Amino acid sequence: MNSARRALTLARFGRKAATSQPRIQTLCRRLQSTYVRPATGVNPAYDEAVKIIDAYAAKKAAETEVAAKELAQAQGSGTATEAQISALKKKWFDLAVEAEINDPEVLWSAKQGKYDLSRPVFLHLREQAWRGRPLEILMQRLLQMFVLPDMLDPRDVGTPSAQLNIALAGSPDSVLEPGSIIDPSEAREQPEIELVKSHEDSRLHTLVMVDLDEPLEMQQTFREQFHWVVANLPFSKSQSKAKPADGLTLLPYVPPHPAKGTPNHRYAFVLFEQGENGSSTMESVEVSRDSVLRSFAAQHDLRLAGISFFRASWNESVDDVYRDVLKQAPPNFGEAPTPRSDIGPDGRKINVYENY
Amino acid sequence: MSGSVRAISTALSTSHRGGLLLRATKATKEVKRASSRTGGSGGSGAPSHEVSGARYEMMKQILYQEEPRQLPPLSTEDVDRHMTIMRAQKIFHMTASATRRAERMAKFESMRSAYEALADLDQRLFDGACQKEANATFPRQMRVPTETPPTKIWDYLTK
Repeated sequence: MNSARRALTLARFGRKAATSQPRIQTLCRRLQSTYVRPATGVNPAYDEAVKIIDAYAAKKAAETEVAAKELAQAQGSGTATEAQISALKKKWFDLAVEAEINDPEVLWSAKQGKYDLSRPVFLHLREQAWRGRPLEILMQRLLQMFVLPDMLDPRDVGTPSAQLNIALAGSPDSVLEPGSIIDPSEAREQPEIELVKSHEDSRLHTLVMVDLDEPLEMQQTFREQFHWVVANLPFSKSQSKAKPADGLTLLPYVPPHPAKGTPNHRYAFVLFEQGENGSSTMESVEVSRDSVLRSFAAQHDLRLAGISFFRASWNESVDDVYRDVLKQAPPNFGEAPTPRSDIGPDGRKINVYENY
Repeated sequence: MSGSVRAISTALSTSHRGGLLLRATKATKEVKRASSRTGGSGGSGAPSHEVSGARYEMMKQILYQEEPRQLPPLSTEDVDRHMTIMRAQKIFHMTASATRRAERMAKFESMRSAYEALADLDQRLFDGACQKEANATFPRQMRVPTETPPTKIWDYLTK
């Protein structure tokens, strides 16, 4: 008995220390389709917590109603200024969020990605989810790949207020990560654009698609080229997708055509809010494909709402685009092959040694 | 090695404080000399003393004879309950600190408005109120200062 225990002890002496973290079974959570409230009567601390949360939520709900009445009064009176009304709106919104944000069902739904956009708490949580990581990734990619200093002044852009999602025509449900490299054939049809806003009412926007790396052979450099411009697209916090047919197409869509021998082209999508807080309508104007985005935005009084981009480089499908859409011979850039000095005019190797 | 152990035991056995300190420094010197003789500790974590013997066996048994306790695995419900409890705790502390802050601000505001009213009434009294009393430990309005402290300083059982 003693020797067995001793053997066990010695065996355990060399054993690694066991982890003290609780094993959480998360598989069940992913399979749940509706939220199931935890049972009461198991953990007394939980029962008290539920009471505290409910009391706080009730208090905040009452304050929200008071704020809503104040806002309605201010809007109806006609004497309140814009600033006062927006301050009261913000106060109502913050209270409405505070009232429901501690509800476990709300937090569970948000984590699943199910946002009921009629409730302010979900608008808030959706924006928080975007600002958590996707916005960081977007800004990192924009700056890392120099989309921002090349196309727009980073100081003017600051932090975009809305999320622009690009979904390629072939796969409308999967959103492209900003900066991802795609096959040019996937962008042959115009992609679907989604603008996710959290606060504003319906405003008119202009979508511009720019190729930042169109080669300029004469100057041996690259320049911007507009691929697609659509104006008067309505977006609001409830309507995040707009059909290009609803807007005014100033430049029809030209698919990406990165020429052979050029490096990865960056194709940027920029959604601008039109002048006068999105209420001014853009008339049919002549837009050249050789425009520069900075001057275009300044000329038409456009303010940035959302931005994203993808990259593409040449493959055989691009030559089809040149022939069918652009009606040009597909160009072939790159250095000419260096002439070999060890092969003669007859194609055979030149003898270096005289007596060989 | 054993010489240093003997030195430490002799140091511990003396009762005189000054002597203990003197012998402790002697003991540390002995230990250092012993360790330098053996070439210091081999590697960063190797002990400089032998880990064998009945004492060490007993220590190992006491430490390792039982499996270390494992926390019970938490189900999704338990995790939910935990998160809810943490949120409720946050709300509780938030509201409590907000209440205390409101009380503090109200207290300060009443003091400030009192001083303002006094300044409007009588400048001399106001200046007197603004002056801080030297060597003051408690407000004189609280109790009459006495020569000696009270017999019962603090009521521990009720307060």
